[in-house]
Amino acid sequence: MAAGFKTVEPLEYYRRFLKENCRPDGRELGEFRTTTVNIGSISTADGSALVKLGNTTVICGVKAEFAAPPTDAPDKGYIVPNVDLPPLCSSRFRAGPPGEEAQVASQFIADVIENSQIIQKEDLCISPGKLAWVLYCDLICLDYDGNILDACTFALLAALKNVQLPEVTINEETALAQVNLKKKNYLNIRTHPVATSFAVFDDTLLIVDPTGEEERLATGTLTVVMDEESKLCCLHKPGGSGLTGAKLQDCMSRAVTRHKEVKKLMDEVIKSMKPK
Amino acid sequence: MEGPPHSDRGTESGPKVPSCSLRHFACEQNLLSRPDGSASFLQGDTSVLAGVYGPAEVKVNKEIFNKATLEVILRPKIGLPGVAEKSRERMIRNTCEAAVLGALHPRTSITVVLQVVSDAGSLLACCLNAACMALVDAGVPMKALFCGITCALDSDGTITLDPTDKQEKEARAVLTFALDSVEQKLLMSTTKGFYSNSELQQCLAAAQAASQHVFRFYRESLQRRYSKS
Repeated sequence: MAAGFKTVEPLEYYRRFLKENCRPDGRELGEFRTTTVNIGSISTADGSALVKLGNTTVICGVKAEFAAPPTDAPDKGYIVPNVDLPPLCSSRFRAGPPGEEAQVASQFIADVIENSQIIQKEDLCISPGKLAWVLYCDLICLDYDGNILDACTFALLAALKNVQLPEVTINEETALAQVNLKKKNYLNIRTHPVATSFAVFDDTLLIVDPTGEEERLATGTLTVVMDEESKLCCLHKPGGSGLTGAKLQDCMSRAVTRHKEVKKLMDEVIKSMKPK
Repeated sequence: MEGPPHSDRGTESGPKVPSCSLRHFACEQNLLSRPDGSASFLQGDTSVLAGVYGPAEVKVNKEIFNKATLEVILRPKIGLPGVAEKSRERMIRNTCEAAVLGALHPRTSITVVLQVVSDAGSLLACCLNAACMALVDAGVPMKALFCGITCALDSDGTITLDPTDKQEKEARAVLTFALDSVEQKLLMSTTKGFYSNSELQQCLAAAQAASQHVFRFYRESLQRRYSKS
């Protein structure tokens, strides 16, 4: 009977739960889904991570290649993110060129990398003006159940922490690059941006970590990307119902707690990987 | 009601604090003959032309049964539209959806087309202002007007509103907000660079104060247009 009501009036069904300050899956309004992360699962990639946020699954693979540095910045390398939402993850995506959702997510990840300065592009330079690393970060969603931005940001961070680049020396006589695959270094990750997404309901209620259904019923979304020392890298609110300054403050405090949770999880995973 | 193309010069608005002054505004409405509504918005040297078609027929696969389908197309000045344009289109579309009363025109489409004529800083804010004026010109029912305000934060925390291209490049952070006219609530926000929470609150407060000037300019420019004819 509840299933029938849910199909006919999904919004009313949802409101009944919100009145009791909880959600259909039993979570509180400010509670995140169980987050799990698995690092280094793709052996052919230079770094990889799989993140599961409830049912939402995103895998990130980082491959490093050589390229000539840009002419206007000869001492910088490149980081090129790309988010792919294949038809596998949800019935709403079709095969073919990337849809709007994928493009917006790719732009968001590119902005996060740029704003948070997660990697200093100068670190990726091998020989100024001649050779630099380019890191292709491919994020593929395997299961879409809402909150794709949080999962992608976390997957990217975990994968970058896992990347090992071999040492490259330029041979003076032949001017060719010599790659020493035996000696590998981890990347210097300077900051740890963590994204926290909220959905706005009926112009007043804010819920954290929306699932796919909740996103469809929501009247607006908000994503806050926070760094250590509570520095904000990105406040992404693509339209939707208005928010007052006070509501924003609540979001900020929730984002700070989330950052601590994620950082703890990341540190545990990295520590468990070290013996390898 | 087709008035003759009316050009309105905006006043140079400047609050008490010298660094928080907005550039010279200008707005011209009803300048294109084909779209149902059109507007050209100038902020300093940044200029955006907007055209609105709607409410018009919508393709069956895009129609929504209980409200209007809003579509935004943003054309950059040079080159083909890329991923950044798609992201901006999504933000402008969602902002318009929050302001437009789509429920009054179900199963129709409202298309907003924006063409960047010149870019000298604060582009997204100018696009939002042009879109709002064009929607008003087309007579699309809205529950509130909206405006875009850009803030630039430089390394020592000074806030500059409506920055030029040069100021944006030198700033530590650039924040663009869309605010509504009824309660100055935050409709849309997109930021570049990093900043602290208190700086965000300051920028938001400054943007809310500046939005009053923009809304007053909207009102004056519409009053002038309709009082002549």
